[in-house]
Amino acid sequence: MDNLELIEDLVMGEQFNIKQEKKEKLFLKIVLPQLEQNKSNPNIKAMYDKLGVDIKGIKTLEQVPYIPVNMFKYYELRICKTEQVVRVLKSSATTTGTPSKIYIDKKTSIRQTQGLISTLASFLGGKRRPMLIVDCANSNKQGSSITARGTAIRGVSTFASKTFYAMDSEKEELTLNIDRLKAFETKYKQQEILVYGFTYIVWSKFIKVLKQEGIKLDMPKLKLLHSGGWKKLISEKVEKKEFSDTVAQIFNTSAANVIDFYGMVEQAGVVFIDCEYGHKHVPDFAEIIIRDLQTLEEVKFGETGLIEVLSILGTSYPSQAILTEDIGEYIGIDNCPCGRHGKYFRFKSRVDKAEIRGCGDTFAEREAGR
Amino acid sequence: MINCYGLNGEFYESEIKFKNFYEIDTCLKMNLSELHEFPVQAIILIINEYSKKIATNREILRIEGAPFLCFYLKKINMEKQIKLNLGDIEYLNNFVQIEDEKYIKAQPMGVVCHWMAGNVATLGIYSVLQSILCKNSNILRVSRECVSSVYKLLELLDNIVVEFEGNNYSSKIILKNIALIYFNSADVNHNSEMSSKADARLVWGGETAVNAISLLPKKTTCKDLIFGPKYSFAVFDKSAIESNDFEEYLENLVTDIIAFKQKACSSPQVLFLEKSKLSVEEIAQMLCGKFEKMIKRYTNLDLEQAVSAKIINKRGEYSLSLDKLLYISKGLQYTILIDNELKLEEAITGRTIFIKEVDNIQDICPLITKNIQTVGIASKNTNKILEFADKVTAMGVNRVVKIGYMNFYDSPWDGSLIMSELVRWCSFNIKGMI
Repeated sequence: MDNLELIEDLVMGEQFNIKQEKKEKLFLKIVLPQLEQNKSNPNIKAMYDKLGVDIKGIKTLEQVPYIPVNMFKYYELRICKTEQVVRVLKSSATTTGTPSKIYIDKKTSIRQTQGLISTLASFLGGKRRPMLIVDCANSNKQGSSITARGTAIRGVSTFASKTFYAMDSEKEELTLNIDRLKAFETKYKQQEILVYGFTYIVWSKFIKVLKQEGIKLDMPKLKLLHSGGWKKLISEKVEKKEFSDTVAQIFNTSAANVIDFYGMVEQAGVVFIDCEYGHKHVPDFAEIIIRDLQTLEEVKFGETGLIEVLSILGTSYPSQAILTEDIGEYIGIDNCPCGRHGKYFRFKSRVDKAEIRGCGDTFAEREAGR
Repeated sequence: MINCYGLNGEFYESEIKFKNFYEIDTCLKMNLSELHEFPVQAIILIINEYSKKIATNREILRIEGAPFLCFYLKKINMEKQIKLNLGDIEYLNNFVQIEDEKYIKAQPMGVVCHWMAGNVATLGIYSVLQSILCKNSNILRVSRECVSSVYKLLELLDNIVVEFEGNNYSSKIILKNIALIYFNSADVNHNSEMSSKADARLVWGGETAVNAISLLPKKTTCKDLIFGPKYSFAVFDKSAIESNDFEEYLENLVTDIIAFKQKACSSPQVLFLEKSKLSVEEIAQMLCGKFEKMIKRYTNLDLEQAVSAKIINKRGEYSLSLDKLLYISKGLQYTILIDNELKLEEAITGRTIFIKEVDNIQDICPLITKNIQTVGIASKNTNKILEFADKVTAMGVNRVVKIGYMNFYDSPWDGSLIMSELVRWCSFNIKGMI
């Protein structure tokens, strides 16, 4: 089987089916030629040269050279030709003010959509259903560039028979349209429905408002998917359990129907969804390595480190190995009670950017004073 | 709440808690007169014994900076420091005649309040003992990270008795004049109350801490010694690079980088190399070798998440760039980043050094501001570095020291002779009266 067929099999096939040992072999077979391809980008080539990367000598996924996620903010890491770019994905730029720019060609775009669908199908089944999006329509407007929120909405929308936006955007502020929400509830409350929103928006602009207004909804058959924005919620000391319980209460459903998934715009198409045991599973076309913050080696089970996300989806940018600024706990391989194969883990937090400040901490003042 | 770990000569491993500074202040005021009666020579002898106790205690010697601390506290050095700071040791004991029937004496300030930074635990000991030599009582507020180390270090000062001119003097009296405390740095009330008790305020810390404490209410007579944020770098000239000692200089540079997790104000962040027959790449490779050797001894990296993230990002930036170079360890043990931009880089810390080549070490001078504390230098040309030192110190640098000595505490520090600031110079002038 050539690599293209193999990629298709891994992306389109039923997910979480391959045992780790076999998966690693298949993955390496696909990734190594992709790394060769990456060298067409001068920055990537410079990186491989400086780090002495010998692609033919790579024997394990841990040896695949990774790109720190922030580098997509500062370098044009495009592998395809400019004219092949169909879309540029942009991150939310909350920390640095500079968004990541991910160049997507047609092939990558298709694979990302296919990958997302086959992953979500494992949790949602194949049936399309009415979908309520806890966001405004503007967040998913058509154009050559698209934000992280838009990317996620588009992905999840493939499971929608119809989509409804619960929010309006007024002067760049999101406001809940209660009339539209109630109309959606009246029409679909007895049906299986899908709700999707960014975690922070769901909490701060939706749930909080409904609580303030004393509004409770009745949509027991929903699946609410949410992702992103945990950093802000953690700063407000909102834990995952509190989030799920509160959301479930408002919708009159079980907390098990509130599903957190972890993903990032730099690895669009790859999402890690909580199974019923609270573990995040890795789809067959992706991989994770949780790296120790001192040695950068893969941690042992039960230990935490930086989450590296590997993917075979990208042909237009180096998606093969991206080191995130998220901390995860490595839980196990192939043996989650939910039956899914491969590695599984827990998302813990964003990297703590707060440092012990001492008398050597002067650069900002010195720069300002020059 | 104020967590108090040492008061009135007693230690509290499980801290005692106070709502305010009333007990602490009362206790210190009560004990000050006993310290005032001590001849300074007795204090020096006690500190000398203390230094010996540190030197023979393996656990304490593991505290970063403790080996140098015990060297610094030796009698001969203490005497030297007092002489440098005050001119004559006797000023601390008696009125000393300086003219016909005119005398001066260095009297204590009273209560000295120390706000210590979290990056160097031993600094608290330097700060408080200099104040003790000036016979002040002290409130030593340390950071949460340093409580345990400072506690262990101070505990060792207990149970020392020395004899001077036929009298015995106990270290208990010194300890009775040190209150070791911790409270949350964001607690404005405790900070304000502590500040209002101070006859002198010694503040060591980063920009935020220093600015916040500077603005607190204080007595009109209170004297401030602010050791704010500083930046340091290293310079190797051509003569050093081409000398037989070059490898040793590189080893010393690594020692300076590794100490205090590279977070001290005296830690080098950039190495400027003067053009020589060796290329920057060759030097970087040699430096790698020195790091590799040193990291076998200093295995404890203990990087904070934020520092790891910064290093990873810098490595990414330098590896992807078309005109920058890097030499790194497999893990995050060390990072050498090379580029041609003549500027000072934001301190990454965690054993990360930027290397930049210059045509002449004088080219660095335009980068100097008053925020530069230490320049670690390697050179074989005395006249050249004397000229360089004169230039950079005129522009703001406080210390130019040989490489390997950047983090060694010394007097003057940050432009101050600290002990001379912790006394009130009092005169007694009766010329023609009697």
